[in-house]
Amino acid sequence: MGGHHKLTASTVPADQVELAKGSMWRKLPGIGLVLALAGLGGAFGIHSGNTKALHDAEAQFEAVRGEVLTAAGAEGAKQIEAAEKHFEEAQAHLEELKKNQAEIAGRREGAVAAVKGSPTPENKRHFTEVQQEFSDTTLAIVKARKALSHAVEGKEHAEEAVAQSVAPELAEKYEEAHKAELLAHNDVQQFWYSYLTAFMFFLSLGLGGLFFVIVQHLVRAGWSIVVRRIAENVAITLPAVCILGIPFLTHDVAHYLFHWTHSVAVEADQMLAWKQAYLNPEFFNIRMIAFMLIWSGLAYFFYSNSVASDTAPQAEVEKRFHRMRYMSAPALFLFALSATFGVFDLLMSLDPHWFSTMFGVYFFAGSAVTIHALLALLVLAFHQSGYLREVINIEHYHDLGKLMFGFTVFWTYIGFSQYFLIWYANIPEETMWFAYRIKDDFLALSVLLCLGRFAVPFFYLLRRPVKRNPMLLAVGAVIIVFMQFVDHYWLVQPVLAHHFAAESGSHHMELVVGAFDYLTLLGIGGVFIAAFGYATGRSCLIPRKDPRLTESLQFENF
Amino acid sequence: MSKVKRKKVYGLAAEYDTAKGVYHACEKVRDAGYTVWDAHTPFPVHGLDKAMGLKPSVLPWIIFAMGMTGMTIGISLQYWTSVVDYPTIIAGKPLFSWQAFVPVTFELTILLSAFGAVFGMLGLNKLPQLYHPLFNLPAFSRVTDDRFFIAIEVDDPNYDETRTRKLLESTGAINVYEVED
Repeated sequence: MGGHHKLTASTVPADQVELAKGSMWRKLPGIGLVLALAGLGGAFGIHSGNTKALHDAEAQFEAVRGEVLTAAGAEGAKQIEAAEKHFEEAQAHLEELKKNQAEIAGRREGAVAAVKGSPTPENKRHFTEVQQEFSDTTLAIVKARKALSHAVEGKEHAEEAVAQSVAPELAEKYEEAHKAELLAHNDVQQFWYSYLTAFMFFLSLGLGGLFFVIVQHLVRAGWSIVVRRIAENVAITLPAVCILGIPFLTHDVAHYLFHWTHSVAVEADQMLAWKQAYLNPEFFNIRMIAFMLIWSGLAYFFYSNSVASDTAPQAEVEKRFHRMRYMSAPALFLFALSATFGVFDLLMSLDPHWFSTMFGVYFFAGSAVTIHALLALLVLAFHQSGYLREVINIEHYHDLGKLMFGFTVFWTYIGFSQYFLIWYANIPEETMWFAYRIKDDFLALSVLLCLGRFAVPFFYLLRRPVKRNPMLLAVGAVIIVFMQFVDHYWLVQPVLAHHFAAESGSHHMELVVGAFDYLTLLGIGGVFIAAFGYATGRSCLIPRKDPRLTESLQFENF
Repeated sequence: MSKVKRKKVYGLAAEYDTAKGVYHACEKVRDAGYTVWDAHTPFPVHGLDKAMGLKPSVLPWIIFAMGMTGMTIGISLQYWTSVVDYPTIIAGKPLFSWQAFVPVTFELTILLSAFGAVFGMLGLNKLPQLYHPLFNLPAFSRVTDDRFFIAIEVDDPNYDETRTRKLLESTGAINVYEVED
């Protein structure tokens, strides 16, 4: 009914769902590889120059520092030596206290066992005494860490004081060399921050695709079968993108990105010292490898089963679809946990003092809204190039539009709740994260995020006719995908800008979108496009043997 | 003994035994230019609104207007109570702390939207209605089971007893009844 004829599973024209030999879609892997080589090649080229410049700047600074020390003479050397000694003492004191505490902890275990064995008043008194000793040492350690942090500052102050005591010309030279080193260091860090931004953006697209596929199987959705293969092709970019995450496992790169990998900084900071059991490079690497295996493995499972069903005999088709449906529930658990803890590591730990239990959901909400927008754009691109016409129709656009709208509201709800609780509680280490995101240049970015991710798509997608017009829907989808990148820029880059503003003494946070941001986006985007294009060219554009394909082809909204 | 009482007529009702039948009949009635009429089915029939030529409902606009009203009430209520009428500093935060106003504003937007949806729907459907002339027709009771109906009212400008009856008969109706008001 409905006045027009709709396709059934057996009447789908082959030329609508199978790419022609010369189709532009078959060129995507090549285009992607060129983009990847150009983008990553260019970015790494500039970066290696910057790394060399950093080594030069460091050597230059060391040379000037030597000059300053010579000029400052015995008096200066004594000053610096004193600060150095003070620092070493503070370190030794802390080590000793830690050793003491371990020893007391051993005795406390004995005292507990004694009380359990025979709860005499004497044993109980002994336990209370050991417990008191343990608490005292814990407090002493907190104080010793504070003292160590002062000693680190003292070292820096001593250097500065000595540098200012020499002839004005030399002092100026020292100042300049110091600044040059800071700038060179910032350039090297900037590369990795830009790389992480682009990496997380494309990772979130792949994870969005994976979520989409899992959830369609889980709820046994009918409408989405005709767009599911496209989502599977997006999800199977995960193994390729995950390979680009390997640099984060290396010592140097982690050092440029993550403050918590600096052992002295962690020792001098009680909060980071407490988190060390979780946030340490070895455990971080183990977790990262596990997450990347989980993501790639899940994507491969759903992709390979679905593609294999295209050409399989009927009995095997049913077995494969049953297997996917059976696995979708445990897969969703794995996905939720790995995505949550994955972004705790990759994004939240950039500012290791800050924490939000909602952060994983925040990331997920952004990925979920974006995958529906990306699917709408890809469907439109297929339609424009003459594929999937009639197979995917206005009803499917409408549903993608409804989910874009729904997840926009969900993102806003999560984003605001995260902000709202922190704003209300007003605890410094929590509010700080938002405070420097509404500071200086970044205020405009935060306002853009609120408008572009909530106000604009919300009111734009509210009306039914917009969701049922592919061109109008595509405008909304472009806004959503663009804002997903802005969101990740907003999550990553202020950390470095904030750090640099403090280090350089300017205290003004600058927002500069530079060559690294464009090149890494192009390069990692190229890898994403190549992987997606390769997957698209390998198989049919729809899961043509899905037992409920007809239901999806004839789907209609009320 | 018998007093001739002039019947007041509500309109003509045509009975069909398939969804397909009533669907195509609706298209014919729509194309004949009738406006004051309705179709009655035991279950929702896909695309019947298009076959009847129904325009999109104004209900979404009512809901939107109610939602915006709720939002305005939410913001102004809190602004007036915490900034104008009884200014109190809480936790050292500004009097106009918009963040704190969001939950109440959100809830009032939702509440009035829901009111708009429910009462707007009832109003547009002229519900609750304790009496409807179609229930004077004994055959109409099967509309909740296995029969489909089209009823054209006398108020329709195109209504003409013989012509309208002929039209309905030509649509494949198994019966056409005159309904008393």
